[in-house]
Amino acid sequence: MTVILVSSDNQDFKVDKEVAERSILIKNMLEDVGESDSPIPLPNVTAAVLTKVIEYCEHHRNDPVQVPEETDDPRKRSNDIEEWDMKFMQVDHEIILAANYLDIKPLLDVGCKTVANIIKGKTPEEIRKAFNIVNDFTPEEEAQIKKENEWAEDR
Amino acid sequence: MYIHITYMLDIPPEILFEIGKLLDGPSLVACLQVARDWHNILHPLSWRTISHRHWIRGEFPLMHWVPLDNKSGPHTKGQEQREAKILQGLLHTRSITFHNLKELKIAGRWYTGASTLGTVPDKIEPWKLQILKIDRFDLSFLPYCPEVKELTLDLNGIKESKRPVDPLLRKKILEQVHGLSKLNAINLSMHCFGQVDVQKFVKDKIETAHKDDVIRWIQAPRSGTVPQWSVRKKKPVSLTLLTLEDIFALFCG
Repeated sequence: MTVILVSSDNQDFKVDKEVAERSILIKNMLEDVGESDSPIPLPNVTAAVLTKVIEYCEHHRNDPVQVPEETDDPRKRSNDIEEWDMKFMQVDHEIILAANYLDIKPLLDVGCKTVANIIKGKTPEEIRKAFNIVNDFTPEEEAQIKKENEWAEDR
Repeated sequence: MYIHITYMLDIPPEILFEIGKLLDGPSLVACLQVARDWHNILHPLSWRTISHRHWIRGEFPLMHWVPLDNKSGPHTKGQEQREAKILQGLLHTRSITFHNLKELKIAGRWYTGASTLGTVPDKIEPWKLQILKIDRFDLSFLPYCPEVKELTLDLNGIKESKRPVDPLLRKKILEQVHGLSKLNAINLSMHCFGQVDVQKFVKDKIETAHKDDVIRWIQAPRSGTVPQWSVRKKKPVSLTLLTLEDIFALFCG
């Protein structure tokens, strides 16, 4: 069985139901409407991003559904990105947004881990550069925060 | 690896928060300095990070100022330098990053002996901590936490040789705890030390307990030297009344 997903720029994507249901959002939608052939509009996702997301879901279609794990050590897990996923994540940040919107937890996790790995070991300025973030602290605030945190760098 | 994140501020706060959870202490501190949004979003994580991860491992920057460690590291050469570090650390801890904390868990090798107590500078403004969890007997900074209602002493990692045997030290600690007018609970978490039968001790002492010192007894499992976090998260297995003197008697035999 297939379902039709419609991207924000009105492109249709024919996808196996099993693959589409990797997205909890779509899974819930399908459950709500019951048996229906009507296409599912995804107004927050462009065709380019949806292509990538579907690629991800196809690759992971046979993965067991992720059970939320109780762990007190999430950082331990930030290095365990699968090689395929790591290559896959060399993409736009919109994937993360789409994963969030479509509620695809494993994909969102990979996205967060990727960003965390980029941040690790960088200075604040390097982080701003990496993510094109404007420093909006006032000079006074910046001096204050820098002063408060300099002991952390003195190691 | 390269990722184009052109407009990172598009990332919803909850996702940034999730990302923050994956960071180690120094990276988190760096993120606090990136931009105002980041500071506000990630700020609550800074103490969470200490409590969940660094309690045992000592990786968070907070650990690097942990005072009263007389094992000479790069930052503890000489008394003067050490005290400067203590002041710096304490000033930081009450600063915007931490001073509004209601709850803090910290750890480190800061118990050394009677001589180290009383070296904390007195220029510190009071913290607002209500719940404080520490893993040593050195309570010399308690005077700066007048709001503390609940104190947890996690003593599982203390070696037998580090127990406070000096009567003066015991007296001092008792004084400091009694100075906390709002304190209404002390959680004590520890292994059964060697020959001491904790259960029996508790049983024997329960009748004679001092009413002012409410101590919730958390007995950690015997296996392993470092208890797992999940053990600590559990509610106290039993509630009993002990005085601090009883505790010291237990420790010192």
